Amino acid sequence: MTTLPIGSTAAGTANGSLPPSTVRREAIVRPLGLVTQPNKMGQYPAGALKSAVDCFMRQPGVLESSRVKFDFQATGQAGSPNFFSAIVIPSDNDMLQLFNANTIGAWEWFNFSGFNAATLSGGIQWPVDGRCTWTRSRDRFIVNSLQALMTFDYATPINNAQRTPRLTGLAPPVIDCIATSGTANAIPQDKHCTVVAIIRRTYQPDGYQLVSGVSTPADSGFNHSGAQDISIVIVVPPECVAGDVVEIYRTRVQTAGTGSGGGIGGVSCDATYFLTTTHALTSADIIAGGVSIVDSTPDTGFGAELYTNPGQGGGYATRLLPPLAKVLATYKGYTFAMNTTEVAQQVLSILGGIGTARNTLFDPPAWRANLIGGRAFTATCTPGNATVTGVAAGDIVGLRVGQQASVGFASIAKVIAIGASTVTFSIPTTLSGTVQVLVYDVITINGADCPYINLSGLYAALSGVARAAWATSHTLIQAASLAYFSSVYDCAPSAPIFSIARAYVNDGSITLAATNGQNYQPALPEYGATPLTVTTHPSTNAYAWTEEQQPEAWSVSNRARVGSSDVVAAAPTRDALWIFTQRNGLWRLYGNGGAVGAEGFDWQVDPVDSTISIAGPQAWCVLRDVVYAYTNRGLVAISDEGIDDTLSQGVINDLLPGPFYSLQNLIQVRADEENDEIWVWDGTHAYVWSFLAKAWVQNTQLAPSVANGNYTTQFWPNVKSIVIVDDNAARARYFNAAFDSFVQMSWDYQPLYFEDPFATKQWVDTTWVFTNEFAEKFIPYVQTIVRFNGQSYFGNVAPVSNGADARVTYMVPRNSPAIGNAICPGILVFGSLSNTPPRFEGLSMRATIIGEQQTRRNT
Amino acid sequence: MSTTTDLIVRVRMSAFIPDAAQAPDYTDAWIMNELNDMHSQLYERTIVNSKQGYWRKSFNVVTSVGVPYITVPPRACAGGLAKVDIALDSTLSWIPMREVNEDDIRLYESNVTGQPMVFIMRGDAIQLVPTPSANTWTIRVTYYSRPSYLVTPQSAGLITVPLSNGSVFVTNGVPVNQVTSAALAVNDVVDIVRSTGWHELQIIAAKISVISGAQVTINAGTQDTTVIAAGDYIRAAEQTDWPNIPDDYTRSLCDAVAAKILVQLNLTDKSTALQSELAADLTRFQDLLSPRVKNTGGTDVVAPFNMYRGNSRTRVVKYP
Repeated sequence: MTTLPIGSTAAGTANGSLPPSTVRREAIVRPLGLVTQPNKMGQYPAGALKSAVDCFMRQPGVLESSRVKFDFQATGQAGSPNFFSAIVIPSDNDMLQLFNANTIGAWEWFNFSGFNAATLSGGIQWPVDGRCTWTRSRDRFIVNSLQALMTFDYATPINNAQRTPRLTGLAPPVIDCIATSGTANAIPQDKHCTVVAIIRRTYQPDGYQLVSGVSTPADSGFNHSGAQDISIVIVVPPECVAGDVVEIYRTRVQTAGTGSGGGIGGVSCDATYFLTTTHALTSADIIAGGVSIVDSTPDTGFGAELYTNPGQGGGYATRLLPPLAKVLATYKGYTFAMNTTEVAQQVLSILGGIGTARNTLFDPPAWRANLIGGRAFTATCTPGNATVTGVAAGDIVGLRVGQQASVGFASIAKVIAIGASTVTFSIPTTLSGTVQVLVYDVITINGADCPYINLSGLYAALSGVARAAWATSHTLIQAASLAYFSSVYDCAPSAPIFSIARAYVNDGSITLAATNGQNYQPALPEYGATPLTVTTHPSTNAYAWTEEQQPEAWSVSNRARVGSSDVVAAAPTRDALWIFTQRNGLWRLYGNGGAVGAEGFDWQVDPVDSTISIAGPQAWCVLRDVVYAYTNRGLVAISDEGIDDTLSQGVINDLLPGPFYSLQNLIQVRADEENDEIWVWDGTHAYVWSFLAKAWVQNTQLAPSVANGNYTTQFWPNVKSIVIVDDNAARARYFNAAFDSFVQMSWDYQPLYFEDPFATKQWVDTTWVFTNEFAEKFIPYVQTIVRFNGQSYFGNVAPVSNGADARVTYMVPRNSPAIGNAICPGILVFGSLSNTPPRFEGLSMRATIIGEQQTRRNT
Repeated sequence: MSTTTDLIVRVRMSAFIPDAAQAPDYTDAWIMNELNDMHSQLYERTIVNSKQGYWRKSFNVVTSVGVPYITVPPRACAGGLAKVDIALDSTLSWIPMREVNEDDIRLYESNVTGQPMVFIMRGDAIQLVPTPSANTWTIRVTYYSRPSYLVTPQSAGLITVPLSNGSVFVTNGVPVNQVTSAALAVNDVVDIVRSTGWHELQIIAAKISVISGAQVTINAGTQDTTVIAAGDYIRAAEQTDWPNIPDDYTRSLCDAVAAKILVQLNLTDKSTALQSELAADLTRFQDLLSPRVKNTGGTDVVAPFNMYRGNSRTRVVKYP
């Protein structure tokens, strides 16, 4: 601030001698933007503004008018009753808005010309509490619903099919296989077997492909009949589309083993699978719900290894459906899901499966006592009698109430009582004489009995449930509550570890009980007892990540935790992923990534600041590779250089006080990448911080229409503007660069007082200086209204002269008051329809220093 | 010829303040008020004391039996008079009346009525003494009318054809009262204002009796309507578009107001400078007022013999 007495030189007067005139002129006071702190009554730097409404400061010291908000023609159901916008996502040609209408999840794509909206089936809803986040990878948008992650496959959709989302990831396929007669003789000789597993791939037109997890492995059975081929039954769920490819892998043919403790029929199978054949699904396959393929490829014709093979990714590389997440981000090509909730899932292991025939070679007493599967015994049977007798004491071992039998009965028979040498079924047998009776262990899942006869049968049993579910499933998990699937971690039947899980997170819990429940690890309640309840498993401090550039490849092992509190936001920059937690402050994840398997990942997570608290899930953005977040310290800038908390603290703390974290959607922070500005919405106002000018202003055009009403915001690069979808305004609003209309702007300075705040002055006049560009554009003029100390003088509408010297002078009214130590001038500049906004450069003021006597006289 | 609009602009220039839109305290109305104040305060004493006929008006009153009072015209400067005359008959041969003060009036006052001989000023009235005993005498009251209020100028009311009977034809329509914004109507009191010179009131406080199209008839009482000339304006009483001073001195009026504004703004240097100029202007103005007819007081010079051919007598030539 330069104050020069008239007639003096720039150097001023020496030794404090009186200037030749009492008239002083403030050479120029360039605006500094909003500065309302540290207190309302103290001294402020010259140029501090107490209000700055609908103006931007896009270069230091220059205020320019905001454009007038522009409404899209329509935004579908926006404004309808019970409408809640969850988030708005910028695509390359439209805006994608996710919202709930009457508690039904829906989406719409809107742009200048209209909108396209549709609702989700299957009861899917979007979180509207600020927890709806999105990330973009491989030109796809992945979003979290309340039920599962959803993927929009097209960044530039052109039809409804392309606009429709799908569930993220591919569920592992379900198969069964048997050895069958054939000519190619994949299994060359007697007492040999192999194990089959498949994966499914889908291809998108842009080359993007999805790879499913590995199916439950299925063994070929114990070949007793010489050389045979393998018949593989593949379940084809409706979500498949024609052209999807199933890849069939199997292990090398092995001789049946004789060892105890596991394996199919005593065979310890290899875990190394090789591609044998592929099959492109047809429409007929999809309609039929399944397809049977005969594989006759000999071992010598094997192709590529399965990606979960040892030496490849390993068993933990198998791709599961993603967990539900409340935070999504993509960093260095890896998509992260944080604050995850895993599906209801129980991991179980058993020592091994037990066969279907009573054979001392493959059915020793220890197996009968400790394994799971089929149990054959010899008994005396009488047709029409439900109790069989004469069961040897050694065969009673392993028999349990609840086991089932099908052969020798008119329908499924359950074991209902077991005596010292008798077994009683629920229905009479049709068997006669002393014969072999076969019963199967049963696992009860949510009250449904699933019998199996050996380990392969276990998978088949589980697959059977899954198969039933898929048969009625829908792309959007309609009826998903019935769906289960099994996941085998290492894909090797000889190491029978498996899980029973819900298909989707919000399907709910699972109840489990089993016959011979003690043979599971962990032990399950015995059949008929109170079942084990397995619930969903939220891990609020956990995070998972995908393989590089594969945003839907969620491997089992890619899991870790950060801190001990809820992850509420994650902001990716070039070198780090900044993780905000609810009570553990800020963390920094960095590294170069890696790959599942031997290579692993090199992620490092370090605490940055344990006391900073982000104000809400949407209270952050990234601009110029720096994270800006609204926190308990106001707006802060976070980078590898540290946390700069001086942006709003000590500047506009009273306007943006910086609350601690709360779960709400009102506080949103977005980056205007066109103008290098940070927008902060606090529920009622929109404040804008300019990176270039390091200054604050307020904008009402894109502020909420109703205080604390629901709204969502985003920067849309396609139109180079911030967009706000306002539930109460029934409109999406933005700044339309093609529409030349600038709204009126106004601002008020904080108290100005030349160089001596204790000297009384009589303020004479103010001259408001605008840019030459402004003068040239605004012919004939733009009207203005002046304010002094907050009081408007509405009659004082004056033109700003059109010429090279664009300025307007206002005298200071007597009752402003004109006499005082300081004064707060302000001005309102009317809107205009030019293609250039009015731009203001600074204020020049004139005052006279008056003595106490004059003060009394004049006032 | 400066109208009030011109005066306001000149005030703003002298004080160098912006237009009303940018100077909330200094509206046109406020400056007009200041001009009106200065208009009366600055010039009344000088003009009245000069006794040169500026602003001087008179009216006649026929006495009524038993009524000694004649109200001083409300528009008389400071409620004062120039003189009072009496005519004893219809020839209106005027005889000056002598004003008597309170100390001496008791020598004339009694219950006896008769021909007024002297008068005394009491309150806002002239009291004739003795109280008239007949309706045969005419009293002529002469006074100085104070300047009218400066109002926003208007083009209506321009007199094009004055008639000797008091009717005038006006162009641009009947003017409006600039205070009430109502068009002048029958029974409204008006002045006839000269648009040139001293912008004197040719007729003061006449009442409109008839308005017929563009013809307006006024009742001017005993005032001589033949003084009305084409180019004069009819205006609501006490309203004028021009200050009642010569155009060449309106600058002093503007400067006086500007100096006051500059004082208010605490721009004392500029105010002082302006007041110095104003003082000189007023002195010059006062010097020029009297004598109004400046054919005396010059230096007599004796022209040399034979200066004028054909006349052998020495001539005295008077140089002003």
